[in-house]
Amino acid sequence: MIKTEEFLINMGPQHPSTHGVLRLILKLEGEKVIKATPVIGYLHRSLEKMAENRTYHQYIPLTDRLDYVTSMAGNFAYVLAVEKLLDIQIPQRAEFIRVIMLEYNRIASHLLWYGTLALDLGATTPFIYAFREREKILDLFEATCGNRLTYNYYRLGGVSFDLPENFIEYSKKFLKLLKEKMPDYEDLLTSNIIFLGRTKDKGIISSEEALNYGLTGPNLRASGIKWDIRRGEPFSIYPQLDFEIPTGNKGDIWDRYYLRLEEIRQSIKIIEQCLEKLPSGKHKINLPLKVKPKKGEIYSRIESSRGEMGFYIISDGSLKPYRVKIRAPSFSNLSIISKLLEGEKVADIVAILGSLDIILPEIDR
Amino acid sequence: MNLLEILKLLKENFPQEKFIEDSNNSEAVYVEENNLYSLVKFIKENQALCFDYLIFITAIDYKDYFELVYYFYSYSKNHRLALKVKLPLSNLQIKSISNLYATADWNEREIYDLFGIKFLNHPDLRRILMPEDWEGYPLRKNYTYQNLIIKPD
Repeated sequence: MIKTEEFLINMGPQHPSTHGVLRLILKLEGEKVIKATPVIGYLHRSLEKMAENRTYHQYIPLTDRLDYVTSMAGNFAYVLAVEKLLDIQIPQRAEFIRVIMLEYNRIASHLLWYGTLALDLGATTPFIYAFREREKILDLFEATCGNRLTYNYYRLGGVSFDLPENFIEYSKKFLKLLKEKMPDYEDLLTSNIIFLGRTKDKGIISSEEALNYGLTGPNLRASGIKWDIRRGEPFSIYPQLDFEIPTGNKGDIWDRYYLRLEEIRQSIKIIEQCLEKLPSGKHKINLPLKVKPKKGEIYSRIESSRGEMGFYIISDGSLKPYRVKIRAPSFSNLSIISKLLEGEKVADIVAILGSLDIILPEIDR
Repeated sequence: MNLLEILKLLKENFPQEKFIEDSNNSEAVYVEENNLYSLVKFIKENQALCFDYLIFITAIDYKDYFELVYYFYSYSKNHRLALKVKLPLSNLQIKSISNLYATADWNEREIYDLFGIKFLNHPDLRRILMPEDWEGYPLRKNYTYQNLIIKPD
């Protein structure tokens, strides 16, 4: 009889497949995971405390540093919450620009995820393909606001710059190209036998579990719950736009993969409508540098590419917020990991972790 | 349901609780600390309320007392509710709701870590973001940069 012993192994914090600095303490029995304990906090910068020492305008650049792959979403969620506290209306053009940028960022984020998931599973080509198109989106952002990763583009009362010349023309050309490339992405993975073997029926999250752990975004929808803040609790101009909410039914890795591809298609649809309807006018209203919201509090949320990104802001009527709580989607999305990994094989850890699309800076904040 | 209807239903089932509305937040009500657990259990299981999603839990330091905020949402009924609990400085502990909502597990650990509020019956109450040997609770108002200055022994 061969004797097996329990084996304790550390994955991370410096591990390319943990997408940041996540550490997993794995208790193994042969190839099987008995227990996985995530250790987080390596990127803790106390962004919530920093908010208490900054004015409302000054905090916007820090919201980029939450989810740096979708930093438009951090910006958006924050300015939306503060604008609700201030009770101001922003110009229609600014609303459209905001939505265009958020959706572009969602595509960029999903493309990055598509590439890295494939990379985690050992396929290099999809990564190159996805980055080729993502690069073009980053070029668009660079032309608009000068930055490629942390945009700091949204302002209280609008956005910092109007769209550059030829933006609409370039956008239409790019969206057409992206639509042509979508079948290529699918050809590489969707029915690839190796990919299917590694993702079908792996890392299943049932809808009850998804609710219990407070999962949001694509992870929740892949488990069969049709919920999207853009429809369920619409913000900005989403009620005027026509798009579908894709859902999965089983909640395995493949469902989460296919759902995100579908979301890219929906985002393309949204941007096209926005470009069509884009009104002229001002892109920003000027607010004084010292804004003082009334005493009160607000919880406002948006749908980022990873789920529910929300800001809970308490104002005591002074220049600086009294308390800011950031509800980051990945924090809840990651908390399910120890349950998911229990009983799985070592080789599947990376696939399951990758499929959740976590990002560490917004977990640690 | 709006807050008034939710409150009416809650008052019928918890006659001993006052449910003081919060003038700063139209979604929130204050409840007593020892009623919280049974209230959360009720709003989760009640068919008419059906709060199946705990958005987050957080704490606020008001210097002479602490406040805990529990934000709930119902996917099927599309309504929100925030329950608030005041904790006096002399008694910084409350019953954990992590066996009702798994989300609460990490949220409560975070509050324990950054505010020093204890959650009774929590399965694994350790620091989550700060190192385990860290001293002090960073999000308290009396914790400033001076706490970070290393003093010679």
